[in-house]
Parts: sequence; C-alpha cells; structure tokens
Amino acid sequence: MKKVWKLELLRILRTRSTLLFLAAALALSVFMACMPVTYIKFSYEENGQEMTLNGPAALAMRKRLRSATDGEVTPKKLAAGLAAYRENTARYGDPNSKDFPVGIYASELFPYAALTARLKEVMADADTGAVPDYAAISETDALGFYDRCRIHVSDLMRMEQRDNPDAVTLAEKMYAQIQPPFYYYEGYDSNMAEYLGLYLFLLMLLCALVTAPLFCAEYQTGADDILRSTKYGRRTLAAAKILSALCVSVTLFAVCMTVFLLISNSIFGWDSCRTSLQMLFSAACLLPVNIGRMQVLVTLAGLIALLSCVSLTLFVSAACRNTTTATGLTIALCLFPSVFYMMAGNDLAAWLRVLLPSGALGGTNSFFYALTFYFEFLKIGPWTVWTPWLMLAVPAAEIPLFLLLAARTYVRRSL
Amino acid sequence: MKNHTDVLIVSLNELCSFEEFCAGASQIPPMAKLIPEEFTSCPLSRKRSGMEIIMEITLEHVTKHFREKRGIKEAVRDVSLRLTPGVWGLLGANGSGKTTLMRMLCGIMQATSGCILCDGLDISLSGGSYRERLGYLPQEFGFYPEFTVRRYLEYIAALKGLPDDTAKFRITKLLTQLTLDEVRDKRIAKLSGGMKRRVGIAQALLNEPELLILDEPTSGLDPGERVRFRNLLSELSRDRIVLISTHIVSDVEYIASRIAIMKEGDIFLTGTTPELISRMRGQVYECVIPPEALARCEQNLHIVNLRNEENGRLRIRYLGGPDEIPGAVSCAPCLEDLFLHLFPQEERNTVI
Repeated sequence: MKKVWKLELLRILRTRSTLLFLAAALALSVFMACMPVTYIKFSYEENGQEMTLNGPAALAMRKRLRSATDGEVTPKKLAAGLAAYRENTARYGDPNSKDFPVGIYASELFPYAALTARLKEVMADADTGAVPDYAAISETDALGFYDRCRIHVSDLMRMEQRDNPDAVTLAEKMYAQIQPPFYYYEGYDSNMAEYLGLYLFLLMLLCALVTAPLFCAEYQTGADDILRSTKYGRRTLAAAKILSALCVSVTLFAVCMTVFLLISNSIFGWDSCRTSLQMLFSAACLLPVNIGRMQVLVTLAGLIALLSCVSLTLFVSAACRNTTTATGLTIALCLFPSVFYMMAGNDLAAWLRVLLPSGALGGTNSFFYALTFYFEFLKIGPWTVWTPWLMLAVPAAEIPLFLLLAARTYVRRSL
Repeated sequence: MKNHTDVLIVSLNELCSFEEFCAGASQIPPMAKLIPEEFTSCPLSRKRSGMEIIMEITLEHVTKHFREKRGIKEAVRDVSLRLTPGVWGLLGANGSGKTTLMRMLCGIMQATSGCILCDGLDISLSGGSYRERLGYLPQEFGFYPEFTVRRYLEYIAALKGLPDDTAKFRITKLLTQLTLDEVRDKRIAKLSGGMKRRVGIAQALLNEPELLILDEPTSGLDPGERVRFRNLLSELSRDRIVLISTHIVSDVEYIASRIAIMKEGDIFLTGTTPELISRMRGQVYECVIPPEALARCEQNLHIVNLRNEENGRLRIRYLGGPDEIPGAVSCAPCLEDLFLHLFPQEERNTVI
C-alpha cells in the first residue's frame, strides 16, 4: 500500500496541470498577502502642505500616530477620543467635509477613530439600529462602553432574531463569555481579513481542480483497466489515490497558508494580531478571540472546507466518465454556495452553505463573514445553533462520507 | 523452513502427481476455494522441486448482464472454455462480447453468474496472486500523457510489484525486444500509433505473465508492424496462455493454436484453424463473370472477394453451392471465409 501510495503521489506531483496549479497557489499566496497593504492611503499635513502616503509608508504612519492609543481599550481612552472629536468639530466643523484640516484630523482625531467608531456602534438605537451622531453620545456613555456592548448585542439580536428567542438567549450567553477589556493595535485591517477568506476559497478551488481528474482521467484514457489488472488491485489503488489527493491538498494548504500568514502578518505587524475581534469588525462579534485566533479559526474552517470539497471532488471524479464533466461539476459545486447565497440570501441559502462542502468559503456566505459580520443562527429541531459552528462541523462530518463514497464508486465501477 | 505454499504443494504431491493435480485442478474448486489467499500467494506455475505446473484457466458457465435503458443486455452468455498454454484467438464481430469476456478474465469485471478458475481457484478469491500472473493490454491503451516510455514502464512495473532491479532488467530487455530503445525517453503522447501499441505490449509483458490477454492488439498497426507483432506473440506463447481478441482474421489465423469464435455473447465454435476451416469445405467457390452480371450476383450471392481480371471481366469468390453460377469451381476455404459466413455484416468492415 505504501509503495502504491508513493507512486501515485509522485505521479500526481509530476503531472503538468498539477504543477501548474501548485505554482499558481504559491504565487497567489504571495500576491494576495501583499495586495491589501497597497490599498492603504493616508493623508497628513507637513509644513502646511497636504501629503498623501500609500502602501507600507501609509501603514507605518498610521501605526506611528496610533501608537499612543494602541493597547487596552479603556473607557478613559474612549472618553478622550469623544472629547477630542467634540472639541475639534466645534472648532473646524464636520470632519467629513473638505474644509476640515487634514493635519488636525491626522493628529487629533485619527488616533482615536478606531475606538470611537465602536463607541458609536454600540450606541445604536435599540429599535431601528441607527447609529447616533457623536454629539448625542455623552462622556458617561463612553465610560460605560463595555456595559453598552452587552446591551447592544441584546438589542441587535432581538432585532435580527425576532422569530427565534432562543438565538437571542444563546447570543447573550456567548457574549457573556467575553471578558473586557478589548485591545486594539493598529495594523491588520478588514481588507486583509477579506483577502484571507478569498485566498482560502481560491486555494480550495485549485485543490479541487488538481483532484478532479484523478479517477475519471483514467476512465477516459483507458489507463484504468491496466491499473486494475495489476497486482495490488482496485481497493489498494482507490486507497492510494485518495490518500495521495489528501496529502497533496493538505501539504499545499499548509505551505501556502504558512507563506500567506507569514507575509501578511509581517507586513501588518504581528502585534496587530492581538487586536480583539470586536474592535476590528463589530463590537457585537460573539467570540472571545483576537485577530490571531480569528486567523487560526478561519484557516481551520478553510482546511475543513477544502478537505470536504476535495473529498466531494474525488467522489465526482470516481463517478464521472471524463475530466471535462468532472472539472465542470467541481467548479459548479465550488461556486454554487457563494452565488446562491448572494442571489437568494434566504433560509435555504443559509442551509446550503452549511451543507455543501464549499459553503464555508467564498463571498458573503463564508465562515469569515459568519464569524465577523453576520450573526446567524439555524434551528435544528428544538436546538438553536450558531451558524459558524455548523459550518465547521457539517463539512468535517462529510469528509469521511464523501471519501467512502469515492472509494466505493471507484471499486465498484465496471463490476 | 517451508512456507504454507510449500506445505500445500508437498501434501498434494503425496496424494497425486503434479500432472494429475493440474488435470484435476478444475475438478476441485470447492476445496480450493477454501484455501486462503496467503497459502496461494506464490504462483503455482513456478518451478518447484524440479517440476512445473502449467497454468490452466477454466471458464464455467460465465454470463454477464448489463442493465441498460431498454432493459437487460446479455453481453456474455453461458460461456464455458478451458484455456491451456498456447496462442488462443478470440474471433468475433464488434459487439460480440469479446472485450467483456476479456475484462472478466482480467478480474476487472465480475461475472453475473458462473465462475472463472485459475488452476482450480476462483480468480475473484485469488486477488493479487492471480493478477501477478496476468498481463493485459486493453483495446484502448491508456497512459498518462506526461510519462516517457521508460518512466511509464517503471510505474507499471512498480504497480505489478516487481523489485527495482528486476524491473530495470526487464524494461531494458523489453525496450530492445520491441525496438523501443530509441524512444525510451520520449513522451508516449508523442509516439506513433504503432509505437504506442508496442509500449502497451511491453507493459503487459513486464511481469512475464503466464496469462497474456490482448484485446485488439494490432489495431492501428501498419501491415509490417502487424507481421512483426504476430511473430513476437508466437515467440511469447511458449509456456504461457496468450489470448488475443480480434476481428482481424489474419492476426490469429497462422499463429493461434486454437481459435474460439464468439457471436452474440456466446462461444459459437472452438477448434484449431484447420478444424474450423474444414467446416467451410465445399462452400467456397470462384468464377469469372462479366461486369454487367455483378449487380445480380451481389443480390443473390454472398461474395467475399472480387478482383478485376485483365480482360475486363471479374473474378468473384463466394460462399454457397456449385449450382448457383454455372462453371464455378470449388476452392480451398480459409478462416476468413468462415468468419464472413458467420458474420456477414462484417464483410465491409473486416481488415484482412
């Protein structure tokens, strides 16, 4: 078995299309880890002149300006940020207008902006969800920020989960696990996090494309008959092929994700991984984790989705007669949850993204979005479950199922 | 220390001679089926104690059904056959069930009913120990486009469980034998049809199989290559069973020690070439006709050959009786005549 597995692994790795996809995955890991920093722009004033920085220089400037406010998010910092906002808007007008001095914004408002944005968020109206103007937020509100966070989560859940009071209770319980204070360190931003999700999706697609021809290419060319009539037989061959596909996928994933995370975190700063999830995306995020742990969770969800998708692809490959059909079906299955969720966005779409192996990766349907932006719960009989947990558990359970189906389909083919 | 196989052989030797054992192998399947695979993992045909057991394949009432949209198709119908060393030709029209039968012999397909025994053991129970003794070239020889000839053969040799040094030796030998030396490092995809076919034959021969199954092995070969290939098969047939499926009569006419003719899933006839040809004695005639008579002859007679004579007349060879055309003379039949007699629809497709 070990010998056949080694042979199959080498054969897959020597295939031109595989090499092409592997090279593309590695190149994309570098490209996509480097891209988000290029979107950063920052304007400031120097010697009375407005200067604009781009890319790493802009990031460095932002980090420098926020160095004083980085770290623990204290009510005092929030109150100071609110006071600075009020003082400067009274003096210079609306910060969003063109007349507001760039230099003042950079030196006085920007250092607190990430903190005050969360303060504004948690002060949202309980019934409408509309955020108030800073003028309507008092220093007392700022000092009671962490209490407001809990109230905000309850309000938000009541608003979004009108028909599911269990979800509200569950969300409140989950949020109670989050121990204040939050932390904020300038660097890692939401663009980078979205690129992480997007890269995981592309990685899954590439692994699926590597896997798609595994069985059916041999049916198509007739090589299969020769292989089946050799000493080790169909069962050993099926096991070796499946194991090889999983090995290639896991190794590729490990290498590419290591490269991606090393580059992206090195660019944005490893200290920014300590930022609380609640400070970067929404104060209502239900998990008590920081950005570093979020990366681990999203990567884990990506690995599970990728393995589940590869397993499904193996099954498709074992069942199809030619590579064109298998590849077409694989691409369709990878894209379907994203497209359907975007178009439909109803309960069916929510369930499909949980049930389909590729559902945890892609666009707004992805695990990353479920973790950070949307607060969805699904009902399974009498139980209410937070969607991200299902997005981890269901594809994980599907891996052995699809692998068994793939092996059975291959072994029983032609019999 | 003796292994399990030795013990089995020795204990059988105490009861009967090897020849008796071989001859009776097909009669003892119930007992043989009880023998676990570990006891039979060494091919029985290998020389042991100076004696050699010759392989024998027995097909017992083998039937294969396929489910189709229109219902059940019977691809192979109650075939019983005993294959002994030598070249066996499996002749039949396209769709007569040859490939299905061959795939069952290779263990790729399972019979719906009946069984295939190798030296008395059901091949579906023998597993790897049977496949170790088998070489198969399917009708469509598939390969990985990235492989060079040498790397492909190394890959198949490893799948056949050959040790590295044995594999190296046999690959070198086969490359020379099949005149593939010059293209050993070329990608198979870049080779001509004939060369690809030779690579296919090489992979089938890598494990020096005792049972060599070749499905339409000469398709795509030019006449010269076909002749060379036939000679090679004759050489190879010593001490092994070579089963060649074809609808090209000349592929097997001169080299097959026995021929089985399949029709509609059934083994219709078996015998040596002379035995089979003798069935057509007195049924093949030749005569010369004017061109204007051809249309009428084609309507009424089963013409198997037609040739223009120098005087503008036509010489026809037909299957039938002497009275059908006055002046027709009986001529010596050949296997092709029998084939065309059995498969008249193949007349236009057959390559002679």
